[in-house]
Amino acid sequence: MGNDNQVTLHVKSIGENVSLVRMMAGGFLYPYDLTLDVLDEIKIALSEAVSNCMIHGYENREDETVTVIMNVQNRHLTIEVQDTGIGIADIEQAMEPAFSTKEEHMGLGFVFMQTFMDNIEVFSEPGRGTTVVMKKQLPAMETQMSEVG
Amino acid sequence: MEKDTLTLYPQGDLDLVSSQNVRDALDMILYSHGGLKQLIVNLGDVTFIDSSGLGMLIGCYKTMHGRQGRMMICDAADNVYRVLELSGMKKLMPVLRQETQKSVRGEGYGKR
Repeated sequence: MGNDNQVTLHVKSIGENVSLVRMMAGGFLYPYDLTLDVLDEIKIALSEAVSNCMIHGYENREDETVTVIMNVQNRHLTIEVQDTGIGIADIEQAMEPAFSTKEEHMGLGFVFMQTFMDNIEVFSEPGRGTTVVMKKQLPAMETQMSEVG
Repeated sequence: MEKDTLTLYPQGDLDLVSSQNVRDALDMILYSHGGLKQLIVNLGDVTFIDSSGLGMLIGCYKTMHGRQGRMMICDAADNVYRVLELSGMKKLMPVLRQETQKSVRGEGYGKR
């Protein structure tokens, strides 16, 4: 039994909006009765994707827009995070663990997205921007209930 | 406490913005306390961490390492500890999780 839903957010590319997007995801996912663990995994993946847009896509320019589309169909969650920034020349390299173009960044963003979501796809074109599509099957409520006992 | 030890207590979510704030605060303290030899970051009040938070912790580690100092992380809640573990942070410094008593409380009832 699932109430399918979709929401599209356009947020200004300021760092404060990373936590705002996380909070909104929490609200959007509230009806699906997720455990805190699952919710945390989704929030981390989302946080990484949105931070990437701001740090890398827009190189910290604050007058740009990040678009986040969240969709649930039959408890299948799809999150799409888009920027229209500089794009990624070599997606494979960008997704390698510990690869980072910037010092003090651990190169873990894509690793966390891959670890915490079931599936991730990256579409990018230099100069045009990057879209990350992440998918995760939300655990059925029955399973969670039986864990509670 | 010994004068050469500093304990930081960040609160809330450690992400892009808040991590930078912690980093700035630490830099200011380090600037005026040249003798600081040990940094303890108590994550007891941290509810969320992503790779920006981890990057900040690594940055602190590098800074302390650069001045022949030491660093440790303590009191991490289960969800935060899991991310620290995944990142391989434990290879660099001691990482202690929150007392089990705290983390066991509410297990299974943690749904919202």
